[in-house]
Amino acid sequence: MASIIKRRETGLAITLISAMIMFIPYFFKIPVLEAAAATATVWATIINAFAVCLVIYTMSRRQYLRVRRRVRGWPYGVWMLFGAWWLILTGLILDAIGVGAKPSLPFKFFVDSIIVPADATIYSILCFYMTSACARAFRARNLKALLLMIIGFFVLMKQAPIGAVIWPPFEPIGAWIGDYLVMAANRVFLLGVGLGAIALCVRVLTGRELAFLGVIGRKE
Amino acid sequence: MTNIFKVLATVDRRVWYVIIFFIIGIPLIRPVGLPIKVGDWTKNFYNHVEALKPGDVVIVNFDIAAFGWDELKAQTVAVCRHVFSKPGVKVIFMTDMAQGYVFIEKMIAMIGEPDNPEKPEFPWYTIEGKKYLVDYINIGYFAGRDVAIAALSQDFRGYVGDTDWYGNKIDKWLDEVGIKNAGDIDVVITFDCAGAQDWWVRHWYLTWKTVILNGQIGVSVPEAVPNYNAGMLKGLLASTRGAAEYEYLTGKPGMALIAMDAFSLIHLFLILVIVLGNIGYFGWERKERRARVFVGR
Repeated sequence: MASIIKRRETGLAITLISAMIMFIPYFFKIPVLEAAAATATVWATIINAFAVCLVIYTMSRRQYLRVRRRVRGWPYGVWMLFGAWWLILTGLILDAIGVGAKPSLPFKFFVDSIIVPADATIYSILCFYMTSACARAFRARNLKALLLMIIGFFVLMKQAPIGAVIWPPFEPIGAWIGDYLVMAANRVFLLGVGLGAIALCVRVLTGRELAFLGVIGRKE
Repeated sequence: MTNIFKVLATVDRRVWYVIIFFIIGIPLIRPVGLPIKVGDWTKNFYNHVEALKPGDVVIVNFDIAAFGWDELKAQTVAVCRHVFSKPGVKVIFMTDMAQGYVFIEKMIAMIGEPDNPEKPEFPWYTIEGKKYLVDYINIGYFAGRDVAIAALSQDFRGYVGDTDWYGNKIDKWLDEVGIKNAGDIDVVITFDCAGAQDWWVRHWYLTWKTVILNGQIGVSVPEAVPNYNAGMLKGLLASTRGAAEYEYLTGKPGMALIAMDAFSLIHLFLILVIVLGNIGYFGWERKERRARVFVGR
């Protein structure tokens, strides 16, 4: 039995059947398959939840090994382990066994006083880096750089709340850049991603892409 | 004599940091009220919320993690106040981010009043006269990101289950409101810092033609614009500026309008910085490079 489960063909067969259950209801109205697709989607979310447990295990193991071997930056590993397990302990276990308030105060403190301000700070200091980058990198060294600067100027003035008040055409010019130039580039990118996804799908279903089964580079 | 062009081309980055600190800090402490213009994205968002009628059901999704909270906070407050002010409208809060429920509660604490002021406890808050388990519920976090949103679209009642985030029974509430499947939801409002709008469009707009309204952090706005221009998003709030415009439209000024002076000044300062950098480049750096190339030859 175990040998059948481990076989590459078994993994491929499960993938193919699952894909067809999800794929066919897009084109044909078959109630049985529609119900199966809905159930499979809910299964996927449950599997996702299990993946979180796997992440906790792999993250803890990796950080533990880093700390034990004293590799460069190991104190960050200690902090990461402490943070993760503190949240699990205070947010999940204390709540589950019904100790104290819900959510527990230590959990709330960690979220409100450490995670939120630290995360917001990291994101906010982008502003300082962007200004410094504007001063040093946005220079009209050649025609392409000049064009980028001109486009950047109009987009900045469109985004500035006061921009359209200073000169009303900033709004339509900025919108035109977004709606046509940026949109064109964005759609090219999206089409590329879409076509790539279809190609990958076909390769997976025909057994030419085996990395997801963990058999890449292994002689069968 | 000091070469002014050299100075401009080689300004220490810490100088810019200090100037930025004051340009942002001073207007936040003492706003001067620089003018702003309300854009079409925000107007369309506002009009769809304004058009909500009694019996309509709205899902408010918090695709929010800590890093995006400060940018989206003003949007959530302004929009939710407006939604809750509409008579007879039922609201379902949910989140597709693990941290999201924290911010749902933070927002509710900002715009609501605890039913028991002596011992405030979630979910028992009244928002604009709407009571929990009467006019609104919080179904909490659903793991799986886009898969969760797809699952909600395919089997809403089955996936939500019969309890809310706090373990209260909600099956009766869902029956009374008349929600059998996702098609009974009229509007989805999703505040995103991780791109959830795309999944709502894919699994809800394309399947049920549900009206999707989106609030975005600034860096993700370009991702949402193609869907907005294609008519799949009916309204779009861009960052704190979108929130400020919304506050202006609802006539309830808040933290976003206060921040707009800093926004305007920082944008103008960025342009000034680029101009100064280029003056320095053409006045000194370019000549210096050419001279170096010449000597090298």
